[in-house]
Amino acid sequence: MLKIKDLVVKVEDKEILKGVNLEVNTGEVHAIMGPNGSGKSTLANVIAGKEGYEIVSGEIWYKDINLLELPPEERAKLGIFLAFQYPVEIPGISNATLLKTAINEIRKARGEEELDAMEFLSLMREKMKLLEMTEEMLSRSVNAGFSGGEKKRNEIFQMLMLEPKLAVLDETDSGLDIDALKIVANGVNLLRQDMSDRAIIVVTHYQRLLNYIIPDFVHVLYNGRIVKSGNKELALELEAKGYDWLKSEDKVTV
Amino acid sequence: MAEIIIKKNKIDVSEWYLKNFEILEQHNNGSIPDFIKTIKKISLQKLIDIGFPTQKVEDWKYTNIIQIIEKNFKPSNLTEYWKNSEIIEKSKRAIESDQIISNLSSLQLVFIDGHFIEQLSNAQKSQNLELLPLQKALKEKTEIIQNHFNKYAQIENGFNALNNLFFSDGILLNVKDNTIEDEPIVVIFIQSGEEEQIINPRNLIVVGNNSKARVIETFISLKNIPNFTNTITEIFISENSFLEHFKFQNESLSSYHIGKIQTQLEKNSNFTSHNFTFGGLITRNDINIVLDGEGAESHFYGLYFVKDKQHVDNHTLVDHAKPHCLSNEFYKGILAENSRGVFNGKIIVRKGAQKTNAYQSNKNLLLSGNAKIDTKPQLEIFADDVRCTHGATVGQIDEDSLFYLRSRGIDEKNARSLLVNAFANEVLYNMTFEPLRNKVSDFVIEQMNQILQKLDK
Repeated sequence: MLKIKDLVVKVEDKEILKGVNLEVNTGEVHAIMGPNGSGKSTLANVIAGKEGYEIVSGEIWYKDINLLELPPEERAKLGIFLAFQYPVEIPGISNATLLKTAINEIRKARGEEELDAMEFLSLMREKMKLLEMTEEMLSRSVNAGFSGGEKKRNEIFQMLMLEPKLAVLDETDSGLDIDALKIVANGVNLLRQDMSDRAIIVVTHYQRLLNYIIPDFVHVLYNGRIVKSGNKELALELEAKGYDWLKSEDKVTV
Repeated sequence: MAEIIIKKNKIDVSEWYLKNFEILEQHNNGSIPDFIKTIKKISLQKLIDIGFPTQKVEDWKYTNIIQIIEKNFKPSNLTEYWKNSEIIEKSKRAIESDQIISNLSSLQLVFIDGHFIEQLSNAQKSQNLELLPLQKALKEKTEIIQNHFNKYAQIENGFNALNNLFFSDGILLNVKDNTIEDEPIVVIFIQSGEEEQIINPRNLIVVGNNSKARVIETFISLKNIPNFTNTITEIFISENSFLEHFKFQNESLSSYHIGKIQTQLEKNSNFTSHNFTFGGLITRNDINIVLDGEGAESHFYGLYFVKDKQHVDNHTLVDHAKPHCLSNEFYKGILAENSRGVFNGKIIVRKGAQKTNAYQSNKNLLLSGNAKIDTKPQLEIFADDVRCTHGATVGQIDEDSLFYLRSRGIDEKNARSLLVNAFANEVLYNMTFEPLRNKVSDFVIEQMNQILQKLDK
């Protein structure tokens, strides 16, 4: 589904990703772990198409489509979704307006009919219930005045509404207490119920989210490169040993 | 072009207006009430004395009005296009297709080139609500006219004096005590554009005790040629009453518009103003209020969305004359292309006006590198127990918000439009009259789409 080849990315003349290789197949859940500043968020943002990154070399292929040539909205229409580490507050646009516009644009791109107001409302109600959200948030402005936990929950709500093919979750666990973490993980696992045309990438600093979203593969991104890959046991090993353990191994890998 | 004489702080009134005033006097042939004659006489002298402001005058620092004075605008009192059935028909269609004012209310007064057009109006009135053209009121409602007309608006500049000399028509609205009028009163001023004219609309609104009403003033033009609208609305609100006023400046992009709204508030009354500027080449609004009774409250909301070479200047003055009053002001501006904006928010807290609460905020969104805004709060506080806050911001469309929306599948253009609309919504949320709010919101989206389409070309 997703193939990243030798990706080198600079931000303001500084090389952040120094040759990332990653392959994610349909049906798989991958976790990308790593210490702060290792390039995790850069990778997530580049997949989603954020501007301000210089792609020095390398390729990103999504279902045989060259992603790097597409603006973010086209990527979204192809089914790529980024759950933001820091969801943006947009006063003046309600959550309902955002979702309705987004869903209908994506449906239009897929050649499907737009949802009418009733269909849309009942779909929203159904998903909100799953995430234990109250209906009043629909008329509230996007993330405006939301607590950290509410913002992250709102990201997962949007994800469930948009039903992406490739979901990238950028540190969705940061700033969450254990109850919120469980609700968010539960949301992701709902998406996981049907993985027939879907893959999920979970970017995280800590292992604890992976207790609830159990990955098929774990990669360690360190200093702009994936230095180690393994199964879920790798996450536990990192938890026990810390990232320092990799720093010493860094030189022998690759 | 008129020959004009520019001195340091003053542009002398041109022969053109003096000559036309003489013609008008002969034309009226003594048919106006004596006290109006007196007002005109004083105003004429004042006009000769003070002339029109240059940019050396602090309140006009950013707005150059020379091109308005240079033009020989024909006073619409002396033209008769308003009698032409084709123009009346055209006006009717313009009203029906107007995105903002069409189908808003059953109470509607229409003026073409400053003249009342009975066949397009519906001034159906009850015992508790007098609504009629001002010219008619000058003859029939002498008591209320003598008590209130020209009692609040001072001559602050030559334009105000010019209105006193040349005012043609407008409305008298008298809401009597204990009257709640739910139907909005729509007042439409149309520039026919058949000639380069000046119209001087004049309105007087008087609200009695324990009453409530809503007035929507709108200005449109039929043609895109230079016209000049110079308007004054005076408002008096008695105890425990509420008036909500809307103004839409939606004239052509060649129009000049100078407007003043002067309000006097009595005890425990409330005035809410919504001031929208979308049209006009040069627009200057002065919105002034005196909170002259304890417990009075004023809310000023404004939105200007301009493009091309438009220039919009909003000057507001909130005068806290009595203690325990509240004033709240929130103006937002969206400036595209080569447009320019000016915001000046003056708050005076008089000696003894203790426990005053005054809030002011002006936020601006620049959509182009060539757009410009000058924004200034001006606080003059002579009491010690007051709470005043003010703030101003100038910014561009937030790139992170833009990416957020695009990452959800929304096209860049659409996303920009949504963000501009969101910016406007923050001020539109204060319109409790929902049908109008939805219309204005749609209008803002359409304005934005037009600007974005131009960028594509």
